[in-house]
Amino acid sequence: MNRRATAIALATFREAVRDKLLLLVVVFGVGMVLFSRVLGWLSVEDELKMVQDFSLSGMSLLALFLAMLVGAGSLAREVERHTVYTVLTRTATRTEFILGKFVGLVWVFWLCLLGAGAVLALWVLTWGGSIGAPLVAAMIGLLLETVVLTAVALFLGALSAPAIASVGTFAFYLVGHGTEALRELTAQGRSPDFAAVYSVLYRVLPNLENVNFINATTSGRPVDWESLGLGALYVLLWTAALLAGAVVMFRRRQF
Amino acid sequence: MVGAVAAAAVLQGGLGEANAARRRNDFRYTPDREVARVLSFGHRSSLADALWLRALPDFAREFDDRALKERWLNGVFDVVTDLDPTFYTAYSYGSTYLALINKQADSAIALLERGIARYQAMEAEDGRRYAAGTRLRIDLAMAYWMHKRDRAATIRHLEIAVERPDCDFLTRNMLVGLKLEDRDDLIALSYSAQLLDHQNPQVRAKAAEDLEYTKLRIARRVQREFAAEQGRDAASLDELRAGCGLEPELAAMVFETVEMSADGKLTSWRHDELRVQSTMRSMEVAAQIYRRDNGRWPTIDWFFEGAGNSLLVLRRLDIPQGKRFVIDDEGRVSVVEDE
Repeated sequence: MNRRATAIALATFREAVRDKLLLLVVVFGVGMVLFSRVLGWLSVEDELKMVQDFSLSGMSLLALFLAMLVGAGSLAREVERHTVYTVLTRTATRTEFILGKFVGLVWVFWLCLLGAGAVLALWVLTWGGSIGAPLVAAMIGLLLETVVLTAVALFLGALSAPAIASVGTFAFYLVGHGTEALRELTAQGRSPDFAAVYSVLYRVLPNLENVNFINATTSGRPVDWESLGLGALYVLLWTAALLAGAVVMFRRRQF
Repeated sequence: MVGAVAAAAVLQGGLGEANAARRRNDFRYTPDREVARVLSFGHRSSLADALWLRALPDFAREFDDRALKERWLNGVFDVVTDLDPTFYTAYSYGSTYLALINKQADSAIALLERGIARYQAMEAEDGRRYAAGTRLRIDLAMAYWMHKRDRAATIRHLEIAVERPDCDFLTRNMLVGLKLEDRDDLIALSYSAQLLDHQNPQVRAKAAEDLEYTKLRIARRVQREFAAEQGRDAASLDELRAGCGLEPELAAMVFETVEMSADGKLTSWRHDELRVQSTMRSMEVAAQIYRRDNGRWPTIDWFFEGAGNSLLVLRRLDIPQGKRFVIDDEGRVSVVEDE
């Protein structure tokens, strides 16, 4: 990333940090983490399991809401405020602008998630738990999910209005976490008529379950780091594809 | 306005009854496990938690329709354990509820067996053992013991459980007791003997104590059998040993540390010795906790006081005859001659 894209990333970071909406979403995420203890109290036992499960799910939703509410409207805000003209009429290219926006947003979103993660870690330690490799793997998975969701939000933001981009990002999240169902629907010879179609869809549709390690944090099972690594590669390939699409769409736009 | 509120209050009495009657069979919908898996959108563990939390208050409710309740219960356990196959509480609490409250021992056993099968698959896949897998096996053995009165199945599952390194001593001793009843003395002795070279010194010490106790139990059984056969108590240890019917090698091992008192009571000096050592270790651990909480070491008398002592209450019987415990300034407990 060159100097101009870095400058755009820093400006995006500063702008997003000042956004009150971001604060609201972060309060929601941290609130989910803290509230998870109340759900733990309602359980017969397994308090720490409830704390970890609901906190990590809350953080996944935090990543989604950040992408939907801050990321999807990011390009539209630049156009609305006319700052995009100032930037593009100077030396920055549209590719640099998209890349800068992407990196800036990912920094902010990661900061929010790491903040929520730190609260979760403290919360787990406060209630007598420990921070192990499964929790770290789940956090890494969430950070990777944030990367691809930010790319989706930017791609859709370059393509359409912020509201539609938000809904599209939400749909991507649901599809990404529901793709595994396609494989289960045809497992053990079930639905043979649709097996071929499902198989193609399973390969083609995005699959966020590749980096979803939040379900195994309390099972005591060892972390499959190799799968997480391959999942990271998979997510980065989707991110590259979406960013390339965002650049193409943004280049075609007439201001 | 007052009239309207008063009329509403009067109406509420009847409405409340109607509400309660409606709730009696108002089962909450429990999604099919495949639907739940798809609609969890990757948050399977959290959805399992949410469904479990939603079901918990209903476990205490009264239901008129038993068949409907069974369907609901099976649905809840099915979906929760499918979404999170490692949800130990759902298996454990679920099987207890099914067996004790709903009188469905077979369903309880089926639930535990499902959990065991899932843990076995995980263990085969991961190449390691999980403590919850052991606990479920013990729960299953206890379910067969308490609810089905199936001694053979209990022994079968306990035998599998004690082969696992994280099996507790209480469970081991239950199997030892069953094996002694069946006169499988060598096998009973082997359950403690196999832990004598365990890497953990505390496990080794407990195994040695249990081994001596098993020997003493065999000797006492032999004594009872002798009395039943002969119509009198054995006059001496040698007479008991000669007429015990045990294999000579086994008899030598069993009677190696056994003594007979003047009133014919059998004791084991080695077991007493190991029990005192074990008691002293427990006292030292309790003393450490006491000091952390109170800033000073406890007195020996404190260990024998029930009031205010939730850590370790000893009986006077735990003191060896003619001796007493003392605790030094560093929290070490020892036995000295009584003055």
